[in-house]
Amino acid sequence: MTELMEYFSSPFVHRALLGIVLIAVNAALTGAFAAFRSATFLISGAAHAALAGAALALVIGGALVSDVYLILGAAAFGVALSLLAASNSGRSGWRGVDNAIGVGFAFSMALAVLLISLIPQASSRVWGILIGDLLLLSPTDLTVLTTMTVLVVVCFIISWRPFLFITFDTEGAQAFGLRAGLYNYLLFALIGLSTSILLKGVGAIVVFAMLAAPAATAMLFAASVRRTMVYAFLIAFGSGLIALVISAYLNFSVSALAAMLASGSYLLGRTIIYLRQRRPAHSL
Amino acid sequence: MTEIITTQNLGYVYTQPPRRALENVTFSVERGQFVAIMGPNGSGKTTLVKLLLGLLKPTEGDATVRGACPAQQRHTVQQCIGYVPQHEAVNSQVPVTARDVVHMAAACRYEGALPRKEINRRVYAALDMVELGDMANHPFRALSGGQQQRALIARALVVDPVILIADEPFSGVDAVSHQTILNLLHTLSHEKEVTVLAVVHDINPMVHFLDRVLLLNTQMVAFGLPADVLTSDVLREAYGKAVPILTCEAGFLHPITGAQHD
Repeated sequence: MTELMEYFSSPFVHRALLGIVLIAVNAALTGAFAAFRSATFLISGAAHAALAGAALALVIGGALVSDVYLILGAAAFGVALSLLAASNSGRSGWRGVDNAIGVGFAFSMALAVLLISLIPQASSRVWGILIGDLLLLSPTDLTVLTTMTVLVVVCFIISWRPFLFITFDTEGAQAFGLRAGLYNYLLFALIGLSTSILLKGVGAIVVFAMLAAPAATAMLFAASVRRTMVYAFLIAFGSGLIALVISAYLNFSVSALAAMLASGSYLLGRTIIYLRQRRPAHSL
Repeated sequence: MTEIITTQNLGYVYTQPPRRALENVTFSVERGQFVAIMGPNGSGKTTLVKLLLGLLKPTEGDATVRGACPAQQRHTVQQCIGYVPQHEAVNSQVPVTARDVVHMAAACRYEGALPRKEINRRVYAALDMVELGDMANHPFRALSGGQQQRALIARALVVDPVILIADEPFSGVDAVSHQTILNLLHTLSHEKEVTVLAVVHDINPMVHFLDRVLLLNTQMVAFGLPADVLTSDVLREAYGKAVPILTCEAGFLHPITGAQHD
């Protein structure tokens, strides 16, 4: 117990905890809306596009460029890919963004590998974004993460009703006079931004699990949008917290463990639903 | 009576892929009329609806809705229209309640202009009109097809429209909801002077209530009284084959445009 208290008094763990709260906030907002729109692949796409942005920041700024520029470079590419996907979604409402995401994903990954070959001395910093580590979040990382998360929250507060309307029925929203195209771009940009800023903490490979999986699990059980968001927050936060506690005893990667727990929650949820459906109905 | 919708040689060509969806459509609808828009698949029914809503700009001719051009004065036109989309067009994965669905449109139109309490009152009044008042907090995705359609109609009615445009309001609808929707559309047009335009595949259940029928097959095949439009020659021109027509006891013509065996 003393060992655990000592562990939780470390500034690394404090920063990781704050990181987990911020991840959970993003999961409850952008993660939920990506899941509602069946555009969760956008999270994977934006995450890998962001790698190219980080690599470009290193090529332009040099191997010792600040982490802030690295994250901003990542965010610029993540948002750009999301806007590309949004431009493809306009024609078919909420469906059919996968092609644009897939092409952008592949293009960015190829670009990232090419750029990394130009800066072999700093390639580990880009690969750090691929893997991520909650315990290695620096105060600068957290400042950027907090600022961007506040930006995401403010945008959602201001545009909540339009976001919900276009997500439910894009054409209907247009017919009722809403600038659906504009809000669609904004929503996609926020999903890309959320994804990119979380990469230092959870990494491009598993960010999907922390952003999309909690919302996907929440949607299995929640009967309202608000509940979906609360459940998504709790699943993401709980997965991170449990992973942090386990890593105090076992030398596991917190990010990977949290991602496993978050995606495991989806598998568990599906299993529960499957078993519920198999259970014979009570006869009257 | 006042003309509320007019079109003159209205046409539209999609560019990607290039396809002529509509041409030479000329008709006018008066206030309070109940009009059915019918025709085979791909005949331009939904395109016409989008042109009237200002969501598409006509490539030929023009349209006016209450004296305004939808393509240029979209905001003015949309203020007087309540739109019911095709049931399949909405994303029922979003865990919204029936109340949320109606509130979306109410907030869109009235937020800032009316107190929150009044907006909520209108939302519940619209749900009561479609007999869903006691299901306001039910998840939309858990409602039956007919109840979902009624929630979408309530969403259109909450903005107190002068014109109601419904795209396939009877698609996937059970018999009970079918009757509720039909009675509601009839009451709206004949008692409250709301102009109702309904895109339908099967016109039969509503033939008795209609003031006009618009028959499309990319071009406008006919527009007029149901008895003048629903004739074997006109229907053959629209559907490219003979369409059986039954005459009911009340003397109305009922074309059988659904699936038939050869």
